[in-house]
Amino acid sequence: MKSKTVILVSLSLGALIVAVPASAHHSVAAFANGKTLTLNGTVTEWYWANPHCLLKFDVQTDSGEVVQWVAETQAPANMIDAGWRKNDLKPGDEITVTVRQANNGNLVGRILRVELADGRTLDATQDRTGATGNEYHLSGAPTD
Amino acid sequence: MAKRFLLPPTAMMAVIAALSVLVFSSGTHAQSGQQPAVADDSPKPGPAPRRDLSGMWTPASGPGGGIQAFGVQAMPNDGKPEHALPYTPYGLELYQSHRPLEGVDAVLPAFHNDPRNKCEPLGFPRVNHYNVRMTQFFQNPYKLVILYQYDNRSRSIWVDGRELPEMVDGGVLAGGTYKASKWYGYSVGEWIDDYTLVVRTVGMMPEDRVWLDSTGRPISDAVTVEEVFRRVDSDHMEWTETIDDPKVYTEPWMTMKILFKLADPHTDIVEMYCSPVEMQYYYDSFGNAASGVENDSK
Repeated sequence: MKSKTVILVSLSLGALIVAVPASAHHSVAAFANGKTLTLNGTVTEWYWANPHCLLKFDVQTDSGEVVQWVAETQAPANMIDAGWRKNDLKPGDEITVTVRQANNGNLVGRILRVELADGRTLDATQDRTGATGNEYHLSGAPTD
Repeated sequence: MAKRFLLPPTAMMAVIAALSVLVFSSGTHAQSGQQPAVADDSPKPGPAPRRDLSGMWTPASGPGGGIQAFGVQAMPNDGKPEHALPYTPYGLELYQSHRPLEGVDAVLPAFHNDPRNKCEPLGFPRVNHYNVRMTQFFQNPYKLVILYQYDNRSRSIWVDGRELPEMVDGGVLAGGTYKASKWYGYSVGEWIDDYTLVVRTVGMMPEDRVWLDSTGRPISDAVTVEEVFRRVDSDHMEWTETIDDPKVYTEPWMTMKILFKLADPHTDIVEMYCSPVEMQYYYDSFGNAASGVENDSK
């Protein structure tokens, strides 16, 4: 899976979003009207830290330009129970990332899920019961 | 400061019990005889131990029950009329000067002025309203120490029979001796029966240093905080908080009433620190861009 084209998956979900807190750090107002995109890219950094883990990755556009995206998840304490680990992602990893882009169109967003080259999927909408699809479950995220 | 809400313990407990039935049904299962909001496949809890709050506590409804992202648990900042607070003119002015990251008046990430995001101590009582997850209680005959998960902060509550210090300008008089204001104040507890500890806290930091919650509600150094820790049974504890801050609010009001359950004492708690380096990196890499500002433009 090489870095390729930005694939627009869904604009409709963005209209369904309401500005509720996704964590105890900040609300999701900056993403309330953002597009949902699925991007093929290459990891440049996986920053496991508070207040939110950050994933930086390069994406090649249709015109051949390589652009850098930065996407956030939640704090490590939350992500551990969602099934994520500090060493899940490494620079050079080929990934497919589904993000909710910022309203302003900058190349930043909130991670919904990451598909790894080995077939694993890391779902940021998963709670400790294993249920997925709730983008906002982390407002009540388990951590312990 | 006037002890406006400091009713006799028995009267105060009656008021709290009545409110709990009306408002916080999820936290009153053990009192009402309904099933508690915890796994029902576990053995039935036994009787509460006498005068013992020690243990590792977590919200009974799940860790999310103590995050309080919408503001204090009992009065979320959601714009509903029933959650409007009784601000004094000064209190409202303070609230409007805050630019929070949560609540109905939340701003984009780059434009906040929340002291938490400078990694300042949360102070008390905000520490009760921010990511209250795994919370450890250590107790001996002289004091109760509460160790919070977020920032690994602790506070001490004297239970040795001493009087609550008297609030004075810039601090308290404790036994006639002046002591300066503290982030986590001066706390004194009294067992009003074998299962209920009432704790009063005074002497916290002024309003330019601390907030009440993540939605920008204010709190001042004139506040008296009253907490009630009620041991429901062998596995559960109810933690209630009421604040009386005549500078900021025209009357006392209840900020939280949360049922906690004991966690496995072998649990290894996940760290949740505020690192200034990590916070700056977050804004430089993400928060500013998400807010539409350049890193060096603010």
